[in-house]
Amino acid sequence: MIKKIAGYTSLLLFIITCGMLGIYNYSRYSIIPTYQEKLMSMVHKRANEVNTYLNKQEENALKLSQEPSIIDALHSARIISPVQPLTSRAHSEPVEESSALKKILQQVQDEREEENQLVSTLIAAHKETMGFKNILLVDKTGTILFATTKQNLVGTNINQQQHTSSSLGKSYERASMALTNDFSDFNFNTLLQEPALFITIPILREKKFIGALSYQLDQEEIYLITNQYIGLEKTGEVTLAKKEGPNVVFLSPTRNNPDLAFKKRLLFTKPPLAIQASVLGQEGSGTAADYRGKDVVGAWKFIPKLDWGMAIKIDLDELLQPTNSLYNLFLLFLILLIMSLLINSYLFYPLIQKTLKTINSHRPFNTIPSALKSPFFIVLLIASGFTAKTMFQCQNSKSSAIEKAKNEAIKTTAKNAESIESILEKVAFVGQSIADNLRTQYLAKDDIATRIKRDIIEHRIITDITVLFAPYTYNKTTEVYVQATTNISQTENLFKTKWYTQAMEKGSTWIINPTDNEENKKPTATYACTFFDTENKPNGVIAITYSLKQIARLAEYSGIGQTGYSIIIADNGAFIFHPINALVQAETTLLQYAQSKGNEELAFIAQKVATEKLPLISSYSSESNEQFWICTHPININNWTVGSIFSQDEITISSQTVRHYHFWILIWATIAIFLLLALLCQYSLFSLTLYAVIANIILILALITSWYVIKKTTIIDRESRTIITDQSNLSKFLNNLNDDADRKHEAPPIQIPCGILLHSLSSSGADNITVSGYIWNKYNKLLDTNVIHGIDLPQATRMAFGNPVISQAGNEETMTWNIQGVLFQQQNYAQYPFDQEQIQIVLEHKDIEKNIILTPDLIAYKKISPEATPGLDKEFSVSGFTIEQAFFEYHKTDHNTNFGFKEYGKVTDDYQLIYNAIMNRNLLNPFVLYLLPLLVILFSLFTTLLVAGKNTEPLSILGGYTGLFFALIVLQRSLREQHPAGTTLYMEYAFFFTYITIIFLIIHTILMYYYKHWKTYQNNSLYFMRILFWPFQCISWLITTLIFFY
Amino acid sequence: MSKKWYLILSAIALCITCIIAWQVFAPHIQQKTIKIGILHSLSGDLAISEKPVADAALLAIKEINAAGGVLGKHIEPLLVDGKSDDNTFATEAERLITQDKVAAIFGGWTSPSRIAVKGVVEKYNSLLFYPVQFEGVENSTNVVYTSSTPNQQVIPGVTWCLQHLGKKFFIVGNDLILHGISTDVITAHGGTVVYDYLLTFDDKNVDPIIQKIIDTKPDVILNDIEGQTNVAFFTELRKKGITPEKIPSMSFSVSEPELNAFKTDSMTGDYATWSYFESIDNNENKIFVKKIEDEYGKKHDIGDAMEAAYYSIYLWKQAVEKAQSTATELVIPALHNQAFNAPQGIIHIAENSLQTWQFVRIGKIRSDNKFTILWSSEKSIKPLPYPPTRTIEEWDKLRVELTEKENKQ
Repeated sequence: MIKKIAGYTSLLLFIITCGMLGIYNYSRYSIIPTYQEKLMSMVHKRANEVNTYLNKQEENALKLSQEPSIIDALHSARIISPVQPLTSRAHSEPVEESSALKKILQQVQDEREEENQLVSTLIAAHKETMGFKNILLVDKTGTILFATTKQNLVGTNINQQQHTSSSLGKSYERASMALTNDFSDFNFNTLLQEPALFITIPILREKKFIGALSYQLDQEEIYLITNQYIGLEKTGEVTLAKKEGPNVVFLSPTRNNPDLAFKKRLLFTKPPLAIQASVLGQEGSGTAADYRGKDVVGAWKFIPKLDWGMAIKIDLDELLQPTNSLYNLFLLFLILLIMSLLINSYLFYPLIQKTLKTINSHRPFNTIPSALKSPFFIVLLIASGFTAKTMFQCQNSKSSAIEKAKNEAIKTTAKNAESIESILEKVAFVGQSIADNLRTQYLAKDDIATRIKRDIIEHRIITDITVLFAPYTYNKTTEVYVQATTNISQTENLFKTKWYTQAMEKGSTWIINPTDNEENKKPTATYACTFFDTENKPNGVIAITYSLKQIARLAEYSGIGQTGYSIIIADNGAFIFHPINALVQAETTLLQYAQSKGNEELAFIAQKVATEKLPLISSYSSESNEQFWICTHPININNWTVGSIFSQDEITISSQTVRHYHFWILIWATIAIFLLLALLCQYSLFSLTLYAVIANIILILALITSWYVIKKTTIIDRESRTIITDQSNLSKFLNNLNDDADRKHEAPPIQIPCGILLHSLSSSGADNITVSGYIWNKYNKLLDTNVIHGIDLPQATRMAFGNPVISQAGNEETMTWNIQGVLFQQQNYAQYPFDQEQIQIVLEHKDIEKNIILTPDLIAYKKISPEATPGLDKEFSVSGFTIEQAFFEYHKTDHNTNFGFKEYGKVTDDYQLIYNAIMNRNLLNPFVLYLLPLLVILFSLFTTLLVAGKNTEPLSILGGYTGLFFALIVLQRSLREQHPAGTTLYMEYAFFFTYITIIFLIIHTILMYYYKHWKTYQNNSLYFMRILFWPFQCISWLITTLIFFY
Repeated sequence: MSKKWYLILSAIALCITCIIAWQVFAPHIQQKTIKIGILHSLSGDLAISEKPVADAALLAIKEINAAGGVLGKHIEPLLVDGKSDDNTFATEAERLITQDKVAAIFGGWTSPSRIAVKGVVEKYNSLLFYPVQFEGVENSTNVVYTSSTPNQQVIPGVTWCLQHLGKKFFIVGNDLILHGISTDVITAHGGTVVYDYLLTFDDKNVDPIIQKIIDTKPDVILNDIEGQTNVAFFTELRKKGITPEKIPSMSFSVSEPELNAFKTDSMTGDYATWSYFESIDNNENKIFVKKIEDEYGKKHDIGDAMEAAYYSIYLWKQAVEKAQSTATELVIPALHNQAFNAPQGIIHIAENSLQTWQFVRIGKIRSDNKFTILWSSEKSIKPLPYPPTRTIEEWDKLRVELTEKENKQ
């Protein structure tokens, strides 16, 4: 009977497993092409709709631009609205008028007002009906004569230098130069103080250009077309973007990231971005990555008139989710199938043995040891193979992630070095070209001023050009002759400058002027070269001073991972660019920096970089307790070095992936050991009972190993978080923030250092913690005068701030508060007792209206590596937990309100400073409180099963089971009360399996009592129940653990 | 097994074998080539300008073939010599279409050569990709104009001169329509034309032009003289002491290959307007320049027409792939809105015509025969074959009058 059931079960499991594999394969490989096709048709439809909208608006704009009254208004080139009082032509004061004159003027005024009214009404009416946001009348000089909204624009000249680079200025320039309708770029318009897209129509009257009409399109209309999510599942969205140099700039908010508009990403990445092909003018579909780095299925198309790319995409994870569930189910059935096959092998062993004997007797290979012919051996080999393969894969993934990052760093660094070199070559070319022209006399001495002015205009990077003639070489009567683009007060001193002496000595030189430009704290550098006369005698020196801003920017925008950054080092080892600007200002060298940090390894690297130009080297930072990689690449033209620095912790594979690998190793290894046991059992080396005992030990070991893996892999993944571990990555974050502010035309954020020290922390209820300690802010008395002082803890449900202790040090004022109170803190007990508590304290500045960013006061802590737990008192402890890490991080936030402030939406409003304390639960308490009683209950059940014989009185057994059942209920209730959670706790599964065991045992007792005629059952069931009791518990726990924590 | 079953199973096995064999061998059986014509002057006066343009087109074909071709077939270029003669262009175009059955013709240089081939492709409903800037006032449905229209070259070039160089213009060149457009633009922006000197293609005597320039004292010279006459013109100008600092000139038919071929530095300091300059500083252009250097060495200076010839091939390939056919009636609709990330920037063919949205750049000639870019449109400009200074009817009337005048001569 048992053999039959086992046989049929195996067959059934085999059919189900094969079926699932088939369905899984079919779904997985048919789902992607289906969606590609669907998305392709969507992207075509939406792009066509956008195109139709643009054509319609261009047609509308053209129609309105042909209105005679508008053309007349432009022709007369007068400001239309608001109506100005008539003034004298010579004076700006209103004239004294005679009554007749007054009457005439009044009449003219009335006529003009009437005309203005007409134009104004006409345009305003069309603005409404045609759906434009604004219509601007611009005359041929570039002066805005009329605007339907934003009246303050009227009178502004868009040809003025500050407006020429705006999208409106550029569009007007193109339209007026080419006499062609123009679609502007879509970006933040400085004039309108909002993102704007225009169609500009040039106006000709009697074949003369008289101005243009600029129509501001409503981008919301385009978003309305693109941002429809019907048919895009839960994660599908539409992205719009354009190419801007080596970057792709996103143009619209998306479903998954409402702040995506105007954010930049590198265009050429691996894997390629879904939007990449579209912004390069192509259309197509396939799998790619999106701006979040997620794998997506997408379709893309170019929108020609605007040079935009459109991509519609859905997360691959979402599309494959049903198949992933199917895959997990398949694996579960596969495991069950393997187990059932093992059981079958055992049950059918005599038959198999007999068959093998028959086969062997007819075959020549009967000399092979019989153990090797066993089916267990073959499956054992397969399982061992899988164990080895998974171990190799795990190791390989770890090393390949590091290798990939290393290669990326080498590539990025080389690319940066090449870009910087090409900029420097241009600078050198300008100098050499002037020198050549002076030597060949193609450039006359009198024309030097004009030439250097022109070169400055043509090369934005150059800030100053000086041509200094050696004494009496200009002519015989002039001792000092110099032509420069800036005023030079003491010309004699120029002969003592570094650039002059070095250039005269070596022919050419590169010099850094770190403090030349105090105004914006960005250093400049000088390239100097000698120039010669026709007889090749040195005649003087040409010095080209150029800003290092553009060069620094190249380094600033490249970095591996969230916190990786780039540096540029001069030939003398001094930093030309480093995220910490103070290092650049102080001309600190890499060696000095390493010595100041007491980092011997880094000092060693600094020496190596200076002498050997090593491409890649690793270093350990004791400050942040991390392994770093440093990659360098030389710039040959002037012996500078570009470097990239990144943390190894950030680029290794995620702890979740490591856990997956370890789980699979555990599964295959357990199966292999079981098979080995089965093989040994086959040769009757030990009895079935002993086999059960050994199997239990193996399962318990596997279970303990799985818990160990869970503990070891429960760590914070840093890849997606902005964790601040040292001054460099804080500076990188703040630099990016300043750039964002610059792009949005906001003032640079006010940085206020902030710190925290916690004395105590304890849980107080389900979602609350009680904390006590200190927090402080540091204010610059000169700069932060209008800022309301104070700090807020927005999670506080009850918080008492003590009187602030104020201390002064120079211009710095530190305010420290003692705090004590209760904070809201959601706690997740689902993984109890392997849960990790992450205490997050959000710190916000009191003056939320101002553009303030709180920064971690790093210098206030002795050590700031997360393992050094900055911000926690020495005596700090939380009962039942071990403190693992503490650190500051910036978290992107999205408030769905503007708090009533009109100006809300600044870059600083997007970020919150969060203090984190990570704690791991000690396992002793859960073991003593819950696991031990549970084991006692299980042992009691097992003992009852052992003592129960065929003829034992059922009522006494059932009484025992019932008692244990109630004990179990009480224990589970206590667990629930202590750890309230919306879902089932991991530990509760152990209780459920015990309930099932009790139910089985009760059913068994009843069957034994009422069905005495079931001889086989009566004779064998008890034995099997005893044998299978512990394996059932262990396997159930093991499978639950693996699935729950996978 | 019965005989019947044996036969059925054998038949099934045979069918499966045939299907597999078809799948394996079919692509090879179908593998043929798609012929296209490259029609440029490889001999005669214009060979010096046109040979590099043909080379750029051949490079694009080589790249496409290396990547697998079009619709699984390789492109077979038939390189044909137009011999710097308009009639030869027309004859060779007809032969390419009727005898060689080419899918499209890429070529032409002068306006008369284009007009000659245009007549042929319109007659046989074929396609011509014309890679040279043109005077406009033409909008054929069988010609893909992949270089600049007047509003992408002459109009912004003249306007820039008005803004930066002066208001008084001296126009000299071979094309009457271009002169008409230049005069219109100058007038539209409040400038004046002090003299308009029309030069025939055969006229090499530049002395009267120089004298007129000295007499009229313009602020700027607008030059659209074709070919070698430029050398004589600029050498004489310099001899008479007219330097770019005194009277700068803006040229519309002098690019890097011409400057290199002229072997003179007398044009250094003057200006030109093009969509593409070899000195454009972007990655796409660096790659393009390197490809040309790798293929042909450093013998070519790369000009606007070479770039246009290169991306013309790619635009055609994209359209064929979209249409899944080389048939003209299917390729033409597929050409609209085709975009390409060209060395000058992203360009695309217009929605309603076969003209191309292009960038505009103003450059100053350097002593190394390259250009320093002074102004860029930073975005592609819509092509207008008929400049807005006159109505389409007025332009057509002018074209007819000029044709009649030329025929009489």
